[in-house]
This record gives sequence, C-alpha cells and structure tokens, in this order.
Amino acid sequence: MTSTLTVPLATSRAHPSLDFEVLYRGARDDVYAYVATLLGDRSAAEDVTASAFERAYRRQRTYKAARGSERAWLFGIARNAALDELRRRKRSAALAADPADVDAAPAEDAADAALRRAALRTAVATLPPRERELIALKFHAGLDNAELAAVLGVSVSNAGTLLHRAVQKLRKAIDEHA
Amino acid sequence: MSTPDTLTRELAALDDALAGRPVDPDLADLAELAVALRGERLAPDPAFTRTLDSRVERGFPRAAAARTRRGIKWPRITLPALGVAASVLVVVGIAVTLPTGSDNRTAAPSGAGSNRGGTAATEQAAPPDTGSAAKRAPSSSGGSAASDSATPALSTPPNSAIAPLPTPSSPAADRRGHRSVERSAELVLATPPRDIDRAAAEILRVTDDLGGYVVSSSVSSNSSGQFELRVPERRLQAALSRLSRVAKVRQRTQNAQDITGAVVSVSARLKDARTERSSLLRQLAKATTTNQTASIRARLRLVSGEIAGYKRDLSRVKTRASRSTIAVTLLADRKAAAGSDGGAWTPGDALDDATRILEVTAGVLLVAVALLLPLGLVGLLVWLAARQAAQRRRERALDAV
Repeated sequence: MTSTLTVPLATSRAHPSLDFEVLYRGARDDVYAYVATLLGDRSAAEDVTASAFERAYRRQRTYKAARGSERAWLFGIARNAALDELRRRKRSAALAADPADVDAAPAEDAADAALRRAALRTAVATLPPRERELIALKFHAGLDNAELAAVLGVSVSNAGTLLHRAVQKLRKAIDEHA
Repeated sequence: MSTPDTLTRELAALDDALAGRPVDPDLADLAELAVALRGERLAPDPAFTRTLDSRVERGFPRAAAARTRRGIKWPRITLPALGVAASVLVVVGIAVTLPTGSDNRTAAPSGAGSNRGGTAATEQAAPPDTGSAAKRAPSSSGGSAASDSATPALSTPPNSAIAPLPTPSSPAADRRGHRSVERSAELVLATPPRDIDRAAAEILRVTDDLGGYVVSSSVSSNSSGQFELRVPERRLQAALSRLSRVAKVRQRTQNAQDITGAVVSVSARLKDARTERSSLLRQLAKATTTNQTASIRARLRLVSGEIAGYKRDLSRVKTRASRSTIAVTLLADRKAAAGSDGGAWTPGDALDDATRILEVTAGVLLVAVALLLPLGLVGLLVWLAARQAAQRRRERALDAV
C-alpha cells in the first residue's frame, strides 16, 4: 500500500534543513526495530517509538547538522525515550523472541534453519545489554558506524571496536549454543 | 585478539553483507551472521504504523489536557509575551530610577520678599569690610577668561548642608533672642555653553537688585564661571530663589553657624576698654604731677588703640551675620538647556529626555545583565549537571536490564 504523508507546512518552513517527513518515512521501522529489541516488548516499543517521533517533531528546531546526521539525532532521541521507559518499568528487557515472527516463518523453512535462528536469538539474549544495543542499532536499525558513534557518544573508531567486540562475542555464544 | 587490519576487514565485511555486496570467502560466515541478525529485526504492526502516520500527518496535535498539569491550566508562554514582560520591567525600572521633578530646583524656597520685617540695625552696623571697590562686574564681552580676584574662598565647609534652613523669619527671631547667625550658601548652576555670559550677567543683576555685591568673580566664556556674592542676610532666600532661576540647579547647599559667642566676646572687650578709657580720663583730670599725666596719657593711647581694634573686630563679626555669602559655580552643560527657559518643553527638551531615557534604559539593562549573567551561568551549570545526571540514570537503567 502506498500512502502520501503530508507534514504541516509551517514545520517545513520552520526548519528547512530538516525534512521531517523524509526522516520519518526512512526511519520509522528502524526506530521501532531498535526500540523493540531494547525493550523486548512490542506494545511498549510502539509507545516509545511514537513518543520518540513526537519528541523529534517538537524539537526539530534543535537539530544541528554539525552534530551528526538526522538519523543519528533521531536515534539519540529514541534511545533516551527507550531508556526512560526502562527506568520507568524497572524490569528486565531481555530480548524476547517475537512469537509473531516465529509463527510467520515460512512453512518450508528447513529445521536446521529454524535451529540456527533459535541459537542466534539465544546468543543475542546472552549478550550484555550494551552489546545487545549495539547489535540492535547496527543490524536492526541499520545505522552506519558514524551514526552509531553519534548515538552512543563515542568516536567512530571506538564505535567500530565496540561493534566488532560484540559480534565476536555473539559468534562465540552461537558456537557454544550450537 | 584481532589486529586492526582484521577488525577493519571484518567491519567492512559486515557492511558489505548488509548492503548485499559480495564478501571474501573467509568472511562468509560473518556475512551470514550479519544477514541473519538483520533477519531478526522486528517489524511494526501495520495498525500501529497507520496510527503513527496519521499523527505525524496531523503534526502530533496536543491534547487539550496536555497543558493541564495538576489541575492548573498553564498559559503557553510565547517569545513575544516574554518580550513584552521584559519591556514592562525595563519601563518600571526606568520609572523608579529616574529623578522626579527638576533636580534640586524643587528645594528652592520661594520666600523672596517675605523677610522685609527684618530689622535694619544689623545692616547699618555692619558696612561691607571689603569696601565698594570689591563690587566688580565679570567680563561679559566674551573671549578670554577674566579673573578679578583670587579663587573665592568659602568659610563654610562644602556640602555641610543644613536643609532646609530656618524660614526667612528665623533671622529676626534670632535677633529677638540676641542670637547672631552667619549664613552662607553654595549654588552649582548648569547652563548651555552659549548662555554662560547671559547667566553671569543675570547673576550680577540679581545681586545688585538685592543690595548685595560681588566679592569675586571669574568667568570663562562658553566654559564656566565662579562667583562669590554677599547679600543682606535677610534677602538670602530671595537671592537663592532668583539665582536658582538663572540656570538649571545642579546642587544647592546652605549653611548656618551661630556666632553669637564671638559677638558677645568682642562687645564685652570693647565695653571694658571704653570703661577703662573713661576711668583713665577721670584720672587724667585729677593728675597733679607731670609724671602722672604722662603715664596716664600713655595708657590712654594704648586703650584707645585697643578700642579701635575691638570696634573693627565687632564690625567684622557683625558683617558676617548681616551679610550672607553665596558661592555660585556656573557650569557649561549642553544638556542643561531646559533649565533656563521657564519650563517650556521644547523639541530640544524632548531630545534630551529621549537621550536620558535611552541612557537610563542602557543602565538598567546593564544592571540586569550584571545580575542575570552570573545567575544564567549558575543556571546553565545546574542544567548541565542535571542533564548529565539524567543521562547517567538512563545509562544505569540499560545496565540493569
């Protein structure tokens, strides 16, 4: 289904350097995927995603291109919203397998593929929260290393190192659970 | 342990795999992992995306209750509203800080002529000790400065004002009580440079009209002028009142000093000397020998000299009571145009007032900045600290997962 989104004209005029419509269209599913991974709760992820976009919409004047890309800025807001939600709930946000996805798996999937997916989810769940967040930002939200660095407030090389370390740990965990 | 090259290669392989580009065979399992991880990405529910799309399209309308916190509906504070509030504060500040009326002019008493009931005895008994020669006119021809005498020296300490002085009827009351009071005043007048000569001439005319005289004067055309005037004590208030109208009053100081003790002391010594002279004259009439006569005459000469000295002293001290000294300083001030035009508000006055308002506004703003800057810095530091603390709490929430 194709739909046209029209963001209020006043907003576009207010901050010509930030096209909120384009940003929203390009990042909506990524933000949701990242937040859902972080919170492990679809319902809460929807609330936080909506809240993050609303915050971004209201604060679009505060965006400064010199500080990073629009996506990095948006994911910074989403991250804060998700962490606020975690604080509010004070409950574990272990990466939970999504029953819907499991149900939606094609029937012709081979049994070993299903096992590999289960092993991968288990391995991701064993990672420390910060490394799980890195995995979510990189593979679920699709951020590049520069955006990762901007969101986490570290240098690009440091972000690459952290990501590499998380992937190495994940591979090791998969091997252990294989 | 990965070498930097390995790290770079593997990170590049991850990006290539995610982008669908081919990866080196030895990194195929890494690429497979990347693709598998991406496959684990959760997709939003279509109903949710439709709702969110709709909210974005409507610009996230605020709920009416959103601004109602704890039962209080807070008005939305806008930048123009803040600007208006700041302007009101500035205007109030100006209204509070601006002087009211016309400087010290309001202090000028209007008692001219009300002291005519004063006795003339003091005046008659105290001729001017500087003689009429001291009555000089300042140079009114313009040009170079003309200095007629040494710098006027006031016997009264500056700014030791006694305000308000006794009413014009007080000197009479003093005299009824046999008190002698020496009065003096200082006036600082400001007038536009072009009016210096006119104001100087006016000062002299007022002094003349009131039966006074100029002890000294020094006028520099278009620059400044200084006068030491003596006027009959009973006309001091009238003189001050009229002089205050010559130009804008910047400062007005009046002093009073009781000199009754000095008058009584000199009078007593004079009386004693006269009594002694009478006695000596009687002794002289009764003297029988030449020696006695010569001795008494010698004493008489001494006593007569003392009497003359005491008379001079008495005259001098009575002059101090009967003639008041007025020290007038005339300053050139371009802003003082409003002071000598009888109160009419001219466009020049409006310009001056506008300038003054701007000056005061700038002053108020400067004070506000001086106050707000440190407060703002402290507020900024507190805000930064609070923000850091909030971020740390968020990060702790992540660690606690």
